[in-house]
Amino acid sequence: MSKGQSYEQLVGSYLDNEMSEKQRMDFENQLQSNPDLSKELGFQQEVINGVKNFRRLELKARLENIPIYTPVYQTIAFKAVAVVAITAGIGFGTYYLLNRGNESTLPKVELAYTDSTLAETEEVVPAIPQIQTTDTHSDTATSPDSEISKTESGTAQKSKKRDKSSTTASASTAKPNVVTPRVETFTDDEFESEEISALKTQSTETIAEPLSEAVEVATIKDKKNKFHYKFYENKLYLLGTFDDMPYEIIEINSKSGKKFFLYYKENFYRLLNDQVKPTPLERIENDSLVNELKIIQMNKSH
Amino acid sequence: MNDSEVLNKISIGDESALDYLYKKYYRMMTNMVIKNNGSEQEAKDVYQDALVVFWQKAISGNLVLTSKISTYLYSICQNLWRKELERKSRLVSDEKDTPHYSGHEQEEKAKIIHDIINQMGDTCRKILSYHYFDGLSMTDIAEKLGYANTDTAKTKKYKCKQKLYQLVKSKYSERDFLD
Repeated sequence: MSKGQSYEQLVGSYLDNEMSEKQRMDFENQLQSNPDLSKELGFQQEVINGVKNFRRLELKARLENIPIYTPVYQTIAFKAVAVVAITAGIGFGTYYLLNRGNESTLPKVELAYTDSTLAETEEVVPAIPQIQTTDTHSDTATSPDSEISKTESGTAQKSKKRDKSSTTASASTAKPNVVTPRVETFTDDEFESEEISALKTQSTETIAEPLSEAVEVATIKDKKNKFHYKFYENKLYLLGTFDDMPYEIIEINSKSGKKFFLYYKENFYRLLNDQVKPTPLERIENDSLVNELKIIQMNKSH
Repeated sequence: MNDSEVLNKISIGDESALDYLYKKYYRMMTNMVIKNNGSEQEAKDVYQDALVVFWQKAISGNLVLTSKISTYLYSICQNLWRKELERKSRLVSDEKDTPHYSGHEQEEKAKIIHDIINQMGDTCRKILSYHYFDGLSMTDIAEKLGYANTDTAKTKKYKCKQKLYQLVKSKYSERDFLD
């Protein structure tokens, strides 16, 4: 064994705490008078520090790659959340069911009287908290429920639904006044173009909103739902395997609420924050909307 | 995940616990730096360093927390940021007094070591990192890397270390860093 090797081993045992107390003291005494040993110690310490630093940087690099959601604070004059829900393709009936406990927050919807069939109205009317009528039949227009309770008598309990007003009214009068909502509907494309115009106004103002209000994001490995999302207790869950590639959540604050988009593997996906059940992620295909989102994304990163 | 679950995960070297903490307290910690004259990048850097310090302390399994992890992390961040501010102010005064200072050789040596470790095999990198930085015992390392026993891990560590020293020395002598 050469002298160099023995120094290397000696210093190695010293640095790795593999020496007895006596060996340690001998070694430290030797250091004072042996520059080669001292140099070897300096060298090994330098390399070990290099190892430590390597690991430190490795852990930091790991953290650096974790996506941190950064919200985009913008004011956008979006349509009411209700309209968003409708245009996103959720049937009005579903919408009613989801919101029946929260009627007071529903938007005002203009209604017009028509002669359409009873069936058409049954589903829809009860969801409307405020009704503007154009008919002169003031009794039913102002207080349909109470009016019906007086007039219905025999025809009464056809249905225990809250739409019994229109049901019984039509049954008890010769020319029934049937209330049909005139609800604006949009195609997906129309909605998106509206979003785009709203996005274009983004540079006007910003909301100084505390960062802590940002929605939390979690990814869950889910075998059943491979590319889904849900909102639960103000937290966004991405279901599937999102660990392989970085993803980004874009949040846009508007007067009517927050809108969320997911950017993943070079595609954008819309996230509707009323989806509490796992919902499949659907790619946004409208090129103009995608371009606008890209612009927001670029602005955010600078 | 509560604090003790996080600590348990770290004690077995599960780095996902670090990811979890990073996301959970990102805003809280970086805001502290930003509110104290730090840039967003500096805030992030300090927070990442703080987590690495926390990791190193917690992985030993000897860390006894008397407060919540968040409080502890916050104080590490504060200390690191204070040190960084001191360093920056020293740097400004140093620049005035001694316009030129070169730590060039040290930097070059550090880079040589870094590059060599980077080129070593995964096993060597892990064994040496876990041993010298994470402070894991050879028994823990054997378990973590799936070796049959502690002696296997010890032998591997010895060989890796020898190889590393050898490679660094030959690079040093190329650059005349060795006498």
